[in-house]
Amino acid sequence: MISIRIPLRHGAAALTFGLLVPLLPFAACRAQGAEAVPASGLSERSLYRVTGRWTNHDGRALDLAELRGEPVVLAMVYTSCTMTCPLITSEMLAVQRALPADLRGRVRFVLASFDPARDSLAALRQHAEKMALDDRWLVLRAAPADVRQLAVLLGVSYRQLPSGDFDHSNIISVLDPQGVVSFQSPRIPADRDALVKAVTAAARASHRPRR
Amino acid sequence: MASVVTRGVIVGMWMVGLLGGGVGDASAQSASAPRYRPVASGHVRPFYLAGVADTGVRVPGFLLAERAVSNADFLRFVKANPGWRRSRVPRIAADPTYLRHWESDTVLGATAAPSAPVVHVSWFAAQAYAQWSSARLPSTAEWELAASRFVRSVGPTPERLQTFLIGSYAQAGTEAGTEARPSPSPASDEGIAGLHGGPWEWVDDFNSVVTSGESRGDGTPDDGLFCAGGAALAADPGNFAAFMRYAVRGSLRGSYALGTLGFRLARDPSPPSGRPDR
Repeated sequence: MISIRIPLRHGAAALTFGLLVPLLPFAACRAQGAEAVPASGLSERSLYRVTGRWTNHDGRALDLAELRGEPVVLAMVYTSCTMTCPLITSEMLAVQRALPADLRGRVRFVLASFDPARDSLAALRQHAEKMALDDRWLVLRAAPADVRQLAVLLGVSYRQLPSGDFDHSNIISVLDPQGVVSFQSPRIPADRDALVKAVTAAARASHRPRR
Repeated sequence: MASVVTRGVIVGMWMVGLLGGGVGDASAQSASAPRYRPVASGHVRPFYLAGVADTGVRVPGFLLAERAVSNADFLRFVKANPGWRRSRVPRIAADPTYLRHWESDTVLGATAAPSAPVVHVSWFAAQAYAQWSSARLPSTAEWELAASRFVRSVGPTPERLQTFLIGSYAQAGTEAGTEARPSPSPASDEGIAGLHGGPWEWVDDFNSVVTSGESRGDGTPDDGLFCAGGAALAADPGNFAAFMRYAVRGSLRGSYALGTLGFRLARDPSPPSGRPDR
């Protein structure tokens, strides 16, 4: 689930109507000492200071901070969406195609699902196949609290309707290699030229060579 | 559910953040922590109603703190979790206004009464506090449900509640430093104080207000901004008090640390009795 990279100790004596709640579930959460990811050098505005636990469509667990070092084009969607979500993915594919050839292997494309209840790994894989996403793409799911937190970080509004569908922002974000949002396209159709420019700038500014 | 994750990050519960931590502070939640009151299940009509039945959305019963988190409460949290001191919190998690009405990192000072609701706190800070307290923030629907129950003090008709609310909102916003005072407004029928008349309060899903375009603009919808957002209709356009609350929430970002915005904690209902407590 979610971690903010700020030291936080658990209150060991939380009270519920005067009764001590069982502490066992929290025991494993107790501090284990050292700072996890070296926040050193990471911008104060980096998303990677606040991150959640996600699972990629290939089944691999992922902390978003692992994306550090490469520019990221990121949007939140749900795969059963028949309205703007396929358009968002298409816009991102168009950005990928429009990148200079030498950068295509150095930019990550990430879709994060609003809908962990229906977006199983199988559904995410199916979506990746259907949209012909290559190995530069991650299609991610996480627990609802992690989804909410990522949306808040990105300024994405969303709301689940009684039908199970979602109303949501159509924001496509560009993260620089440090995880700082460097550009956002707020609407569909997206401003592809501006997205390409922002991604290119982020990639050219990157100090880290391709892994 | 608790799980230890990569590179020593411990992530198990919502917003547990811990790294760096140390030994848990056994006195973290002292006896002065607020009590929780049961809020009975009921129906809420969201202000923006697309796709919702006329009866509204059913909200299960839950527990809500009888008062907002105070400066004294939050000071204990900050002392126990130095990363949340205002000099150390990263900008992604809180704006520069974070706790600015306090005298220093760990001193409240003259403008922050210990018992007053804490303000100048970001959503991320509120979430971290809730995590530390083994609690959570209420959802929008839960907050609205609890805040609609003022029959005893206000009267039975929705119009009377509206008049009361608009009057209390008119008093709520004052200059930073003085706004954080205990609310004089009455408690709800369920014994929950400060829902109206004090600072606004963060809710877990404050970013669930999906409307078309910029509400401060010329009123022309920009359908490209939201998926299906253009279909959102107000359930009760005459409910100006609800409109104000939704407008405030819709204008927030998670890092905002406003002088008119605090929070309170919620919990799921207690497990059925008979379960062994330890």
